[in-house]
Amino acid sequence: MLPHSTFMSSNRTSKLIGLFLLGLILLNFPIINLFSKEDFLFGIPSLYIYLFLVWLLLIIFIAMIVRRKDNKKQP
Amino acid sequence: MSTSIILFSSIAYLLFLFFIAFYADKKTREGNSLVNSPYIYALSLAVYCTAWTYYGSVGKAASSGSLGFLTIYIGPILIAPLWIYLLRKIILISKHQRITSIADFISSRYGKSARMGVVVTLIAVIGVIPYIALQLKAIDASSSILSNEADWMSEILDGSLFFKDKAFLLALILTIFTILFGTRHLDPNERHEGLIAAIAFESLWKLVAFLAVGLFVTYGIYDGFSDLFSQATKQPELANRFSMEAAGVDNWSWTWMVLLSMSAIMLLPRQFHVMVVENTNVQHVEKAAWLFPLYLLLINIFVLPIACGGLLHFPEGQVEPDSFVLGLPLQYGQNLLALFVYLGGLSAATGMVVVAVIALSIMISNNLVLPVLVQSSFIQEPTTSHLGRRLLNIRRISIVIVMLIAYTYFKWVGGAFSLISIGLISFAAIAQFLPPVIGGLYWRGATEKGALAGLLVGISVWGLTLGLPTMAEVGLLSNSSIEEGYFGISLLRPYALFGLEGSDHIAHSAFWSLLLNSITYVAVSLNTLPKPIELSQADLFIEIEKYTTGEAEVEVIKRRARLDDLKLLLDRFLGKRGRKRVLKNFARRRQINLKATKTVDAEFINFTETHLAGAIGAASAKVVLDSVVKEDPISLEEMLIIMDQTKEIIQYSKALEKKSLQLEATTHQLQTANEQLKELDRLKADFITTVTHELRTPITSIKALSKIMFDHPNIDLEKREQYLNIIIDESERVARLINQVLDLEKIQSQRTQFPLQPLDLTALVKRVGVGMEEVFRQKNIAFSMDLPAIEISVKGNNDRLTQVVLNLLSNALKFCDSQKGKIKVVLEKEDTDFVVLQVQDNGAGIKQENQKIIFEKFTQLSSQKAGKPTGSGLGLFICKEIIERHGGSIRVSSGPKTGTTFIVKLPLHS
Repeated sequence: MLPHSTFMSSNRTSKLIGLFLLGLILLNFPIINLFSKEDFLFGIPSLYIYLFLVWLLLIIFIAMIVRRKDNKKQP
Repeated sequence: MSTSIILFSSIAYLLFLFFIAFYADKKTREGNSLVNSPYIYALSLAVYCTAWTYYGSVGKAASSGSLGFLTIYIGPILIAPLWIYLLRKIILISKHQRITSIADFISSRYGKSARMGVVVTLIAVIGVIPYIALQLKAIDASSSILSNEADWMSEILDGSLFFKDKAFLLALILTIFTILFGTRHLDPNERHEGLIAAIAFESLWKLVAFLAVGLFVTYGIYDGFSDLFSQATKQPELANRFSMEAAGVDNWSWTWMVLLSMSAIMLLPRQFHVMVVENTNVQHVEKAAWLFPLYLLLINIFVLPIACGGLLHFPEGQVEPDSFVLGLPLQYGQNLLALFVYLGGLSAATGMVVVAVIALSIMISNNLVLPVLVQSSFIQEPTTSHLGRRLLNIRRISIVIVMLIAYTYFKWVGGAFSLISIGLISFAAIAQFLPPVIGGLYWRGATEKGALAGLLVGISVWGLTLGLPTMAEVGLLSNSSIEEGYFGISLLRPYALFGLEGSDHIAHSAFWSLLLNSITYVAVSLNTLPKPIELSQADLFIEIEKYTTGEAEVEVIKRRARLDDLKLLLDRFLGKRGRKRVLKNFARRRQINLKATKTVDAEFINFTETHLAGAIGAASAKVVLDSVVKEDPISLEEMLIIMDQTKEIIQYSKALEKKSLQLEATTHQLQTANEQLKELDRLKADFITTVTHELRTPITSIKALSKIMFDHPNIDLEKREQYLNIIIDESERVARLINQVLDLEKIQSQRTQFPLQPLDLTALVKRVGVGMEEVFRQKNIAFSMDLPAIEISVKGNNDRLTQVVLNLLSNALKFCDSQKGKIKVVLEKEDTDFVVLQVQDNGAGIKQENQKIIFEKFTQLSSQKAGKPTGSGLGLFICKEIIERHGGSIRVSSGPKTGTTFIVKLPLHS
């Protein structure tokens, strides 16, 4: 049986690799082409909104994954 | 604004940075480092955002109108989740090996190869110099825009030939600045905490300044984002620019830009320096992995609005798009804001230049100059003064040379290109490090020859497709080469190599150079054998966790040396005081007395080597040590033995692991079994206690009555008969109890073999009912049976099922109303699968809370009739056991008015 800590950290590895792959797909063609139109959302170009939104979500997810381990560490 | 104000505020700003650096260094010496914080670390990484970000992004966004500039930042944020593993690994390796630059890192991985260090350093210098030139261009241009009036200062500057050139003045100031920051003393770990503090401050300043101008444009000049964009779309030439196709960014180049920036964020010499070399704590990487992307988000969010604002205000091209950031505040007379923003741009440029030049100077001195010098007389001369001062001088000279080349590049070529294309040319050169670094971290089979060949091929292709053509733009190469291909061969056209056309130059070059680089790297690696030192370095790089947690170092190469020789070396490079401190450390940590030793083992040599490597680079340290260390090259046989041992150990440990897993499982099973046994034991004990108690009660009364009759022989007949009746009753009760206990034992022991045969349930119930009719009649109980006319076939045991029906009927008899007793038996098919037998009585009913427990062993409910329990408490339990063994179920439904109904459900025999 794996020690608990190894299991936790390998689980975290998978999550972060998953996030990397997800970002790679979301911020690349063909997905960005879906938003690359002359559409406006709240008066702002849709591609602009899409890119920054995905960006923000990635930041939030990284912070969440990293932080969860920080909490665990403290007794 | 007057030139003097700009010049004075620039110098005042730079002096302030010095003050910060000085203060941080002082704090570090006092023992409470300002720099040891994840926030400072993340801010220092933002040295990634240079003048290119500051001015160039807006320029790019304005000239192509799209979000293409974002690719440079999307790469870093995509790779950020992987930092916690990739970057962490690189930092651990670098700390362990005291690596001080990217050249050191790659050369160290491939057997501390000196020539590898040379190649990597040259590529880095070639790649980064245009990038430094770009910063000069940016500051030069921005200060020109800011100063629009002639004053005494500009006259002096214009008048003197030497200072005629503002860019030269700038290069000079930056050179002095860099020398002061980077070469004040020789740190064995190449850490400059003061510098990092200043860089972090600059990052903060440039972010705040850029946000300020962004807010000014978006909310000061316009009424928010939507207002700005709706005005922009009214202009026909702006309207269709918010999609990628319109901007000329095709999918292909988008992907390659992202990949290039992904590698740049880790491999650019200055990024490697702040991320790895200046890292104070590996844990900081975790927070930086989201703080840095957040920084990039903030600094980019206003780029498009500023670009649109600029295009709306200067549609005729009065102001270069690269300068909109300054042009817009100036247009509205916001001079103070413009100055603030200009200083932000200065921050971005100086920060980049200082760190990049320091990183390059470390590489040049440690990987180009020292390997040559240490082999010449330089090292051999019997001088007692240590070489630290000379090393610093080498650094200083390297800094001057790098700045000089950058200035020259700017003068010749810089004017012909926009900020962003120069930057991307650099990125493509640096990306050549990607295969050897990633391969080096994860692929054991990679060899020095492979990496070297790959790098040379990659950089050559880069030179043909990007480097040389930039020369053509300024007339250093004939234009015919560009259009018709080198030597007139059309397959060798630089922008359509091998006939590949249709993508932009950067993506085209990145594709060919990285592809050929990787192929060469893999192919040559597969066909060459690594040297022993390459193998041991590969193991260290790939399995760094093993080396940092335990002292698992396998000694692949046996080395011996005289302690005095090593002392001499350390004296030269670290100084006497440095040497004493280092040796004391080692002796204390390893618990050995160095005074008594003459020759030292590999462990000590490795220790010396890593310390020297910190000062002069891994390759140089190896060369220096080789001069005094005797190396017993490892033989093939020994190597095989080591490999065999390793293999055996691995197999053994795997087997051990398997065994221990099995053991664990068995232990677990045993524990469960033990628990079950304990529970059974407890039940058994309970059972015996109850049974003996039940037996004692009737036996006591039998004994008492028999004794009375024995002691009083002349007791009257009526009494005697009464006593004997009781004795018979009690004996029957004992007999019944014993029978039931035996039954129970029999049922429970016959867990599997319980003979089941098809039988007719209707006939069975009828037989039992008829048998009981006489008893009911005697007790005045109305008994009725509602049986179907047909045969109902179930698979069961005749004796056992008879026992169940009998039990239920006697139960009903016991509990039914004493005056007007009524018992009814109903048998019917429930559906195609089940048959239901109901036995109803009109007794007092069973309380809700008792309904659950009546089917358990030895549960007795006192009947109103007898006042004390008359059964053994086993009847219903036995019924339940039998029914369940038949695959059926039994339950009770009871209310105070309705009497009690036992409902038995049995599966039909199909």
